[in-house]
Amino acid sequence: MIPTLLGITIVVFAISRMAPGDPVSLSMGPGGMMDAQRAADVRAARMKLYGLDKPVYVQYAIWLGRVARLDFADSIKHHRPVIDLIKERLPVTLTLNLISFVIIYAVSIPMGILSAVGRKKFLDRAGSVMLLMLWSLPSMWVGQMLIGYLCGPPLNWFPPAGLSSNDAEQFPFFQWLADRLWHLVLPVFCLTYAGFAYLTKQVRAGMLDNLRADYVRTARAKGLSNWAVIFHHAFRNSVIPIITILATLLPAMFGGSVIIERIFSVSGMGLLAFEAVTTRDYNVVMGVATIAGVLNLFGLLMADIAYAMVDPRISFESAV
Amino acid sequence: MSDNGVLLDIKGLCVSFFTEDGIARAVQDVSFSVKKGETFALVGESGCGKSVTALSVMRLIADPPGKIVAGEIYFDGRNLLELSDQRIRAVRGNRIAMIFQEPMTSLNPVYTVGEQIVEVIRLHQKKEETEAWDIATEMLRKVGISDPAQRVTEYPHQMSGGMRQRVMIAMAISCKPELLIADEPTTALDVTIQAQILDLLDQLQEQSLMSILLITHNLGIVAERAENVAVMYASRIVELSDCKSLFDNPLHPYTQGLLKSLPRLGFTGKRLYTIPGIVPEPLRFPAGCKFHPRCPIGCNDKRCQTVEPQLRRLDNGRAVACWFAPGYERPDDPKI
Amino acid sequence: MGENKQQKTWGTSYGEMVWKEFAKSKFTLCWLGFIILLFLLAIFAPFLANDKPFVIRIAGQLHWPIFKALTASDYSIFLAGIVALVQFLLVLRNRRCVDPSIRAGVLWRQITISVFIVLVGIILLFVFIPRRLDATDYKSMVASGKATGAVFAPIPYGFGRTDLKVREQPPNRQHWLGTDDVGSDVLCRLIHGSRISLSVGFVAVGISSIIGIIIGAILGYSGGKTDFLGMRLVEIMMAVPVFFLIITIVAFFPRSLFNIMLIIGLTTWTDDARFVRAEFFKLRRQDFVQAAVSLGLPLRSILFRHMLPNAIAPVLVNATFGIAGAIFIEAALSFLGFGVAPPTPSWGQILSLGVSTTGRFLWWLTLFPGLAIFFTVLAYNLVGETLRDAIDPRLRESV
Repeated sequence: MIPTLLGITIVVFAISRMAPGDPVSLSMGPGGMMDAQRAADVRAARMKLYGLDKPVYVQYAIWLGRVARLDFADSIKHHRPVIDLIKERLPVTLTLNLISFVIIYAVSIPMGILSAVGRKKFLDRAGSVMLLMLWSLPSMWVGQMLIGYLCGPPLNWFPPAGLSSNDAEQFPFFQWLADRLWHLVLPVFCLTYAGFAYLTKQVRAGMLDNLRADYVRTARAKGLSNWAVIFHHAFRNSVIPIITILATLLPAMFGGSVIIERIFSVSGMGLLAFEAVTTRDYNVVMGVATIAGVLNLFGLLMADIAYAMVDPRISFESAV
Repeated sequence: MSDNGVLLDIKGLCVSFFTEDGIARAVQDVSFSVKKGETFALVGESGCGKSVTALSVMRLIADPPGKIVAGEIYFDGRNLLELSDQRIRAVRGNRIAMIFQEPMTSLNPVYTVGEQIVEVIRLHQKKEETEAWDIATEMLRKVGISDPAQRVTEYPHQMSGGMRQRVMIAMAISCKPELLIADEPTTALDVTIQAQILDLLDQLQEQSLMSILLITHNLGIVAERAENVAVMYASRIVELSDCKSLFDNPLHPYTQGLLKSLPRLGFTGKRLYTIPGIVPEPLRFPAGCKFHPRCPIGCNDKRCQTVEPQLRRLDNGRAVACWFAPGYERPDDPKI
Repeated sequence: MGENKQQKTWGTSYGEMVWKEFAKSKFTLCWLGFIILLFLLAIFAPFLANDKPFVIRIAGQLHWPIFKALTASDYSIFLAGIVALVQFLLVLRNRRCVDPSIRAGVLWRQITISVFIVLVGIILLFVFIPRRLDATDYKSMVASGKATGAVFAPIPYGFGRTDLKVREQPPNRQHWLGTDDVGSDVLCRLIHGSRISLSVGFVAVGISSIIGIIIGAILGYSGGKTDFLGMRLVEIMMAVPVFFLIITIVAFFPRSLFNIMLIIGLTTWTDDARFVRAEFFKLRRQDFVQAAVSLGLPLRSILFRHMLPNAIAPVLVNATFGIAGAIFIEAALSFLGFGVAPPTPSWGQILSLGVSTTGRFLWWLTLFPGLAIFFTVLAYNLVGETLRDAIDPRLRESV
């Protein structure tokens, strides 16, 4: 765990230092206004200020120390501490992703089981292709099409942007909640459909394999009813790979957030990252990358622990 | 009607598999009966249909692609093939139990051994949880597992192959079945463990007068343990007889070939005998007698090549399906 | 010679068995055809959509503007296409009729032929490479009558041409799919954009596969300490959310097509490494590997000549999905504005223009590039899934 954590920080730091140019030159601009000597002095002073004159590993150590205290310096564009910006935006992204997760798992698992148990050969194949089509839809296209067709006139079913209407603060609680949910529908849908397609296919594949397993034959030979065999035996074994999928879904959804938040103008961490990259706000970029990595790692750890709880063949020590 | 102590009576069983590449007739016109308390062996090579026959008794054939297309299976007077789903489930694990070849994969890896035995006990007998666990522990002790109280809480992956097979047997006998179907119970185990498991089965049979339908390809086991034997080849029974007569005087050329290929003590020749050729695939059975391409007697005989001999009971009580078996021919048989 | 003629067929090879299984699904074969069509589109793009005519008569003399203006990248793509086609035909021809004992010699012959073609192509390149950019406006020449007998490409627009008079026009007779915000024809940009998408797909997946195979092979074969340390490295790569990492890198490095391919390749190799490592673990204990080791063969020979062909199946399947993924990532990056810079056409970039700066929804700039991305990604995914089922249905759980 700890080494992986350190590894993430090293990767992020290395990228920032490997880039051509450095923050000082960029913040100084072409410098046509000053004469050469003065420019050199200012540059040296700035380098000293940012600690860029020290050797790389010392810079890393300093940076790491600050990161441990959650100090990512200030945003160049907003002139506020990066960590404050992240604190504001993170809950939005987390809410969005969590809701999507719950929906994905709640819908995919029954669908996957049903499609594995159902029998028609043609429906099988057609359903599989449909799921693949759903997975192949690019999220930015879906988002933009939804906005284009559902949000403008004449339909006006959903709002095209933001998380709340403009005068939302004045609403009583339930109305505020309803308004929030109304705004969330399209972004959540865009985040969900791909994960849903993927997970349903995996559940289905896992169930199909497990239903052919020997221990299922034993369970039937004991006289268990069909449902008991499916849920109690086959599904219980299929749960294991489903949890592992959590590990792959997480980073995909973080990445998807960037696109969705940009399209729907939702002020989350994804949008923050997007704006930071566009405006070359390095401190924010590095802060966001590190936090995203840490969150991802946390999610992987949860998945590993869940895995150990569900599969008696794995012991806790080997997981962590 | 149950009479002469016949427990299981299979008549004319036909099972086919409907696949993309064609219809595979895995079991054709199989008939035999198992008495109360006897051990009946069903012998044959891989792919001859013996496992499918065993699975059919409890209607465990996977419906697509397999189907029982004809026949009757009488158990204690009732035709199992006509029972409703609910009724057949009441029979499975309860009056007829089955143990399988691969103990590694036949037990569910995510539940403890005890949980799996308790599951079948609580399903068929109205017992409380604690009582069921006690019975489970007692079953483990009965099958010879040491420290059963500890073992009952363990997972299958914590046990050896032989122990797992004992657990399977414990699970099978926990509801005191009248018939135990053992599908190659020892094939995946070491030779020493094999002997132990077979002795255990003998012991259990003595204690409870349980019938055993033993499926195997190992003739050595058959000679030691079975009273009656049916030899299957390519979806049909080719010889049916009591054990002693089979080994003393095999009637069908296939049985003769099988016995000839067993290595014997004192053998001094250079090469072991093998039956030439290979077992035909169910999708490509030869015409006439299915064994004729490999048969030393019938490979050039016109009748063996075109007309399939049915299983017939001879005067001495044995049954065989071969035109050349002594006493087989009847006056109205086709002559070529 | 006589012995060769006797044994005409050598049974079915692994590749043939996989193909037979693959070809059972007519539906997937159609999509494979679509992919081939895309390839043809990409290769022949300058002939399909170009604002210069094939041939034009100016002052009585015949000129061939398109051919004079082909760029180095056009030539390289033609060359690659010809080499691929020749290789494919050679493989087909030699499939059945070659005694396995001389197959190695045939392989060398194929490689020599390809190298020869490449060399000839490079020489021709130097002869024909344009010395200056041809910015002549042929259309106005035709219109004003200075030139006659011009034969234009089917879509007579260049992807670099801007014409602010016709910006943001919905589909009409002149511009079949409409124009974008600077007046470029959408259909032309879509066709040229296919080059970007396909090349990103292949190069990125090529890079990630090579890295993944090498790391996976070394880890899987070594086991023990090397494997432990290596797996920590792989886990670190897997723990970082890939898209965030790509964006971070894109933020710091200059934008170029090659950078994007490299970045995608460098961040997506972990899956291949895991598959190869798992397969190598299984293969390491097999007898033929022990035999190779005991014969004293060098490590690279054991790993890549003996073990790798057995472990390659999941990598191949993952590669097709990887191409779909790389195309998607490139489109997403271009959509966000982090991809290739205009005027290089990219489907994602056109998509991003779908909502204009004034908030108008320009449906033709959303629908068509989106469909292009969707169909391409879908085609690769479908082919990949059918390939996986053809090679080994048991791969379904892991890949």
